[in-house]
Amino acid sequence: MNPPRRNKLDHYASIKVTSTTESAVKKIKDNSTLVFTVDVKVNKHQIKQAVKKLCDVDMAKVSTLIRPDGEKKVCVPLAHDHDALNVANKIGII
Amino acid sequence: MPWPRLRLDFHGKKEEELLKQLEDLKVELSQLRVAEVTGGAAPKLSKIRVVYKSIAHVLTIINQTQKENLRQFYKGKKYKTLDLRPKKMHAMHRRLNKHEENPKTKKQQRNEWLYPLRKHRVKTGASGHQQNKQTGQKKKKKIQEHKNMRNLLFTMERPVWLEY
Repeated sequence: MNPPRRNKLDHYASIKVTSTTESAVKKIKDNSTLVFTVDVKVNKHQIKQAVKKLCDVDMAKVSTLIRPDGEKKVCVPLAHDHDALNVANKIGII
Repeated sequence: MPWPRLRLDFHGKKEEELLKQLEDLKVELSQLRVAEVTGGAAPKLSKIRVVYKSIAHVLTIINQTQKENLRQFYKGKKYKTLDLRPKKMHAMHRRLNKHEENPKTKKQQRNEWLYPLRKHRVKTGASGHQQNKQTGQKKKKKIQEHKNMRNLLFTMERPVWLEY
């Protein structure tokens, strides 16, 4: 048979963008969570790996929802020893 | 070129270098996307396309070299992977071979080789008459008659080859 194709949904392709809406920024400050827009085909395990790899953070939980316009939104509350503000600064959102 | 291209030379690099380059470009792309969302400056926004296209470029080169190497590896082998085999129509792959279509016994092959269909040509004109060394009267007459006949033949519309 044919050799296996490369994985087209790697970490960089799965996480599209970090959300910077007002509510998202509020979550960063108050709840220490990051909010991402993510590819629809990605599941929670993949998101966990991707965020871990790209942002170097541990997370307490991953919760997803699919927006009415078809995008997947992911809410990632970080573990206690991490501060979301620092991470957001590092990424460049705030 | 309507827009600026990243002048990076990808050809001739090793696989690890290319993969590393790919990673760097992808990181850059993610950063640019953040800038896009947070309202970045114009040069950053225009750079997105450039980075995007160069990622595609690197991937093309990686895949091309991989395919080439695979073809080299499988060259001369009987069983190749399906994507390396010649790509013809569905039906053409399922047809019989040339050998299988018209099989011949060894006896038949041998006979065909030994006794092929012979083709003969008729010599007309002066070359045909070089064998006639005698130039007696009768012969001369015959030659003349032959010439007349020949002229007649060539004036006819359809070529008629007769043995003389």
